[in-house]
Amino acid sequence: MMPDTPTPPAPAPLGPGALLRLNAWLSPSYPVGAYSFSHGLEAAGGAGLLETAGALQSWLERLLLDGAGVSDGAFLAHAHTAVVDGDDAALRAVHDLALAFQPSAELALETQAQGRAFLRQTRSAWPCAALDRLAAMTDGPVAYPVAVGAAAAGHGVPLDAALPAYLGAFAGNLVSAALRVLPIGQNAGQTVLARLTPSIEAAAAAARATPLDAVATAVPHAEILSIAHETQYTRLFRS
Amino acid sequence: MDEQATEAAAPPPTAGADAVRDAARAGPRPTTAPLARSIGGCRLAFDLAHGGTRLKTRDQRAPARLLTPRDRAVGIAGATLVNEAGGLAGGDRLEHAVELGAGAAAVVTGQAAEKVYRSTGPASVLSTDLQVGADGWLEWLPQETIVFDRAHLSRRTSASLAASGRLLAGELTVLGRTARGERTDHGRLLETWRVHRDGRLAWADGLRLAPPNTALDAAAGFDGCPALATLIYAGPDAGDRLPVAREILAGHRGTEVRAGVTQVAGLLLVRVLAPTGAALRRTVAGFWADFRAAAAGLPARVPAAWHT
Repeated sequence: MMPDTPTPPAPAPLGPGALLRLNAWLSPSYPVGAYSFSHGLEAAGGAGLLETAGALQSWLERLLLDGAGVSDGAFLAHAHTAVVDGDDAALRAVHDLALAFQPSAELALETQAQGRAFLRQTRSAWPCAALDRLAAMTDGPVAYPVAVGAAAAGHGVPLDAALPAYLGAFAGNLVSAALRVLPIGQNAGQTVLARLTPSIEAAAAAARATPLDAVATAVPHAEILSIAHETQYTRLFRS
Repeated sequence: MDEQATEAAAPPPTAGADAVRDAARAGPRPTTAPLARSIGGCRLAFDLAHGGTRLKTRDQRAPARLLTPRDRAVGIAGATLVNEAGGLAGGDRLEHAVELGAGAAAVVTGQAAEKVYRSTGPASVLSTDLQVGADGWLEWLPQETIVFDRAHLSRRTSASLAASGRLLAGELTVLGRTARGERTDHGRLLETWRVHRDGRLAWADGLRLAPPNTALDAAAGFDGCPALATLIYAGPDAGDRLPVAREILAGHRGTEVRAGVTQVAGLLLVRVLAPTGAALRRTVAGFWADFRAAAAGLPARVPAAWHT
């Protein structure tokens, strides 16, 4: 299946300005509250499914290749392309779909809370017209990957760099969450993250090739565990 | 969808005889879809007349057929869809549309499980459009769709509700003939949902399988369970029904079934993942019966077609 999106202009070389922006926006210290979300990992750990570094790696590979990695990645890519093309109707379409594409209450909270915080913070510190247009489309909620995609395009950060950087930050945040709730040490956690590199690249490629009306995932068990987390007795994370 | 357009334009090499036969049978047909073997479906419209719901429109296009068995046990008007072809091959399409007028109440289901046979390439397409008017109540729950190995299914379910309309809708998918231990390592599936409420997209979903179908055994994926159901309940009271929905689902979930219900975008979403089609049907039918009773005061019964 081939993408039906228009071919974006040739990517600009990744200059230090683009690199510094991605570094800042996707750093764990950027105030979007990423540390408070585990994307269902806390529930999966509680169910005894993530007792080893290998199990954690497999779990995260599926999330990247069959879960939010490809769906959020596609939303980011479509938002980026819409901004580069100056196509507000396309930006609105991806904004609407990304907000609606929610498999559980907590995963919806995860993307909306981070999206809202990212949009507010970035408009304040790194203002650009694309984020103003995105903000005008919403009465509050916005999906995180759409906000990041619009910001990247608005600042001339190429999709080739923004997409894997976003997915890498997603994986890094989950490894960090895993260290807090699983019997997995720092070194094993970073080794898992390093080994996820091919999956991050593959998820980015798949996300870019996915038309908006064919965005889909295949992680029903992870979604059911995310739902179970809503009624879990003790919770460290909001998702 | 794009997928169909692309694949219809590129016939697989082995389809020659079928294509010739079908062209002869179908007569003039746009050449853009040379592999469309059958295109059928039903269009139903219910409205409120003389204080009761009646089936105002019942268009049927073979191989789809519409039955209206008298099934008083369910408490409201009903219709049952039949696929007389017995299943879908690659290139076959079934397009159903159900329109429920203001204040009407109806339940629509299928006569039997739908089978999707192996395809040499083109997708079998199941397309459903549901419309619910103000204060309407619609239940849409076909029986399970069994996806054979090497089948290629594209299913889209689209619903549009008035702000006060209520809809309980579900799709059940069984990957492979589980009773004979068949796996669908070479099957392809794209299932999408779009739910609009009051003219706005409220909820969307997509499920994709593509060979080698690593997701089937992955712990985060299907975890070895080939039977999956997605149900939604949309209505102004959806949020209030979350606690009772949780309770009902817990009561019908066997130990071998994973299931959950959550509230997203103002509607309830139920997911059930089961090791067999039979276990999936049990859980879904049990939930459905008790939930319609709790949410609408209807008898705790599913249509007779489900009892077999």
